[in-house]
Amino acid sequence: MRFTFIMLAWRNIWRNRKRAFLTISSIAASLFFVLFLRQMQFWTYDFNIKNTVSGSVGYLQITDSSYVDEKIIDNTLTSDQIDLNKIKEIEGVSGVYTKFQSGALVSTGLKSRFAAVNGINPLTDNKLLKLDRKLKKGTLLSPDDKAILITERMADYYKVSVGDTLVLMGQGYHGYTAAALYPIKGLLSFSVGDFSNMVFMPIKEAQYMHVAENRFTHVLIDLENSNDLPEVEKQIQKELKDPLLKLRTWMEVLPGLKQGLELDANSGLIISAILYMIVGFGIFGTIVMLYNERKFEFGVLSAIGTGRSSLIFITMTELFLLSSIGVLFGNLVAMPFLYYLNNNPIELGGEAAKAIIDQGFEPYLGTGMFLDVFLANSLAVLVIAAIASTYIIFKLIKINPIESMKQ
Amino acid sequence: MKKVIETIKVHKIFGEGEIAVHALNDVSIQINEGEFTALVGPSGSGKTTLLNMIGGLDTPNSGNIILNDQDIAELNKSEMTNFRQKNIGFVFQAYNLIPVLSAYENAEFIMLLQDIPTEERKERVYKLLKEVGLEGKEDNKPGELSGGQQQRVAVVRALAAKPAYILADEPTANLDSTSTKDLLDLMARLNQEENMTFVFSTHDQRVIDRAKRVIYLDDGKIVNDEQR
Repeated sequence: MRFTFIMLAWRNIWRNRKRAFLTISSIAASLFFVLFLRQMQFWTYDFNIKNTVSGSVGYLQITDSSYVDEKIIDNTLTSDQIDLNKIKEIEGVSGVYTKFQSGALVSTGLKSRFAAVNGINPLTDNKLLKLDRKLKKGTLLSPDDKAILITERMADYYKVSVGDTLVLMGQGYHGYTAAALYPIKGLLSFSVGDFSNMVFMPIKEAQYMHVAENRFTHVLIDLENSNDLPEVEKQIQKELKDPLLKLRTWMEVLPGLKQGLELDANSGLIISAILYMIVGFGIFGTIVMLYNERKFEFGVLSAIGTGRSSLIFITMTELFLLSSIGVLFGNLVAMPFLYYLNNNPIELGGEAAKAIIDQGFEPYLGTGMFLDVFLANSLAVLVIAAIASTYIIFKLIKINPIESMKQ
Repeated sequence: MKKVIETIKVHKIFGEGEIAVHALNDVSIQINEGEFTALVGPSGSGKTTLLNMIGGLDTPNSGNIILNDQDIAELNKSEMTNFRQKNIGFVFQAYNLIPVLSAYENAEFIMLLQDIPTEERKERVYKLLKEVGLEGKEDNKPGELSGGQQQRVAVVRALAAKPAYILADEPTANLDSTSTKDLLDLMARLNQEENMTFVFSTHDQRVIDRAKRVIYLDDGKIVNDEQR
C-alpha cells in the first residue's frame, strides 16, 4: 500500500507541471545562493585561518605557561622540555616548528618604532609563511644569515631599502640588552595589517641577539586538516609531561580572529535566514494552492474510506519529493561553480580588495566544498518544507468530506 | 432479508434560530439487502442529506442510523472512515476518479486501503473491468476515458471492495443517454446477479423508471414510498 501511496505522491507532483517547475526552481535557486554564500564564507575563514595561523601561530601552540600572561624572553622554553619527535608522529600533524618571537625598537637616523621580531627557520618558513610570494625586493634569508627582512611599509617609514642597515634594540634573556645592527636583505609585502610591522631574521640569529641560545618562545604545530584539531589536541596533551607547559589552540591564542569570524558567520546566517524565508514562503504558497486545488479530491478520498493518516502520508510524501528534487537541483547546479572557485580562487583588486584587507582578511574570493555545508543547508530546506507542510497536516486532520466536496 | 440500512426518526437541522432549516424531519426508512432504491425529490427536499446520513458522512441532530447492524453514533471519526471503507461503496455524479491513476489503479484503490493481497486484487479488478466492458482500458487514465467509461470505473471501484451496499449520488447526471442506459443495465445486472444493494439519489426519470423502490422526499419528509 505504501508503495502505491508513494507512486501516487510522485504522479501528483506532475499534475501541475508549471507549479512543480516553479517550486523546484525557487527551492533550487535559494539553495544555490545559500550554498554559494556559506561555502564562500567558510572557505574564506579556512583560507584566512590557514594563512594567519599556519606557520606563525599554529593550529596548536605549546608555550611555557608563564609565557601566556607575560610574553618575555625569560619565560621561553628549552628543547629538553618537549619531545618534538613524538609530537611529529601524531596522526594529523603536518609539521612541528620551534619559534622565537620578541619585540624590539627598530631605528635608523631620527626615526624609531617598535616592531615584532620573528625568528624563523628559513629552510621551512620561507615556504610556510609564503615569504617567497611576498618578497617584493631583495632575496630571502638563509639559516646562517646575519640579516633581516622587513615589510615594505616599514621601509617606506624609515626611507630605507635593500642593503641599508637598521638598529634593533630590545631586552634579552635574564636582563641582557639585545641590540644589534642588521642589513636589510629583502622587502616583503603583507596585505593583512597585523603583519605590516614585522622584522624577520633567522631563528639562530634571533636567539643569539637575545642571548637566548637554544631557547624558543613557542612550538607551533600545523595540521593536515583543521577538522582534526580536537583529536590532535587530545593526543598532544597526553605527550606533554612537564606541568609547566601550556597547550593552546589558535582560537585561544587569537581570540580576536575567532570573534571576527564568528561575527561574520552570524551575518551570513542572517542572509541565509532571509533566503530560507523565501524558500519557506515559496513552499507554503505551493501547499496552500495544492490544498485548495485538491480539496474536493481529498473530500472524495475521505468519503470512500481513505484515512486521514493515509491522506497525510500521500501529501507529505509529495511535498518531500518535491522539496528533495529542488534540493538535488540546487546542489547539482551549485557544485560546478563551487568546485571551480575552490580550485581557482580569484585575487581581488581595487576597492573591494581594500575593504577585505581592512577587515583583516586576505583579498581572495573562493568557495569551499565542505560536505557539512551541503548537508546542513539541504537538511535546513527539507526541515523548512516540513514546517510549512504542517498547514496541510492541520487541514487534513480536520477534513470534513461533505464540506470538502461542496463546489 | 437482511436490513442493511435503517434510519429511525432522523432529524437534521442546518443553521440556528430563525434561519434554521429542517433538512430531514423524522425520517424513518429500512432498506434491505438486494434492493434497488431511488431517493427522489425536488432540490432541497433532503435527498442528498439523507444520502450523506446513510453514507456515514454526516450525523443527525436526533434519531438513529443503523448501517449494516452498526449504530453509527457509536463510532468516532476515524472508525467511521474505516466503516465507510469496508461497508459502503460510493458512486459520484462527477465520477471523482483520481486523475493520475489508471483505470485499474483507481479500481483497486479501496482494496489497497483494505490491505487485500495483490493477486486477489488483480483477479477481482480485471474480472470486474471485463464485466463492465472496460477490458483493454485498464492502463488508461481517467482523462483518456469517456464520461460513461469513467463512471463504470467508479462503479468497479465501489464494487471491488465488496461493500454491503452502494450509494450513488446522481450517477447519470453527466452522462448521455447511451451511457446512462449502459450504466443502469450494469447496475441492474449486478443487483440481480450478485444481489448488490443500490441506493440512488436522482432527478433522472430513466433511473426512477428502473428502480424497484422509489422513496419520494419533500421538505425533509418522506411523502411516498413506492415498492414496484
